[in-house]
Amino acid sequence: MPAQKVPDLTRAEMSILATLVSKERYGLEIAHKLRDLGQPLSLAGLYTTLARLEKQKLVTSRWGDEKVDVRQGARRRYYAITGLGEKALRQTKAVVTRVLRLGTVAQAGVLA
Amino acid sequence: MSALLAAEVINAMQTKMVSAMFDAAQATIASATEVALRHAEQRQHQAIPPAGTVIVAPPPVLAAGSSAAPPIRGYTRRNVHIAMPTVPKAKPVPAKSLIPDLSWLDKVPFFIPKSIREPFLGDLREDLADMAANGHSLTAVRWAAISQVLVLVIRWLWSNLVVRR
Repeated sequence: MPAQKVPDLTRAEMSILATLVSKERYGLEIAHKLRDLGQPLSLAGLYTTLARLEKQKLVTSRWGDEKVDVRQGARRRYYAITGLGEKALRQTKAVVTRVLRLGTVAQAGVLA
Repeated sequence: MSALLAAEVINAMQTKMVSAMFDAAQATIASATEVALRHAEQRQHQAIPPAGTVIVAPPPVLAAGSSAAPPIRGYTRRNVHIAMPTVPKAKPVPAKSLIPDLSWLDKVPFFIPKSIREPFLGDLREDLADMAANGHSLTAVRWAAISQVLVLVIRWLWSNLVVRR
């Protein structure tokens, strides 16, 4: 069985996946978490990104069944990271770490 | 004799001056209180209790020829007592009534899949309710709703019709 190709992640995709590592969350919860982490993303941007991540099988989703008055009947949709999503996140983290280390070494060389 | 007459004349003049000053002060205070009450009424959107009375101490009666008459300098604002009306505190308005009518949201992005549209609109309503509860104006809430829907439509069209990843 051929290994599934892991897609490269944008910063927004990486941030969203990172918020889903600990537990599944619904859209507004993800948006609030991202805002708290200093990476604000609009709801519109969040949902288009989530749709893309779902299409790439990096996240899965399910409908919530709780009733919230202010939502006027609209259900919450909970998103969870998949194994492939975790793999993509680890891979992106490794790349970013390598690039940052390279930058640090280069900077140290310039300063020396 | 002439000195006594002069003192009487001076006392009479002082009494008239003090009366005139306090009449003017009373009128000014009354009009200022009316303006303040009107503003308070506009702010509170509630019935104002009966307007308070302005009680001004009467000017001192200076006995003609009396050497114990108080000097005019001693007449300070401490002699004036203004009873201010108590305005009841405004009842907290429930946040839900501040949320504008957003029923149009269900009609606009009809071409966006339900799996995105429904949770997006629910989250948007939840977010807008938070905004209203935090004191944002109705205009700000409406603009936030419009801009979010527009951004969603543009981004969805862009990612599905223009960019195929």
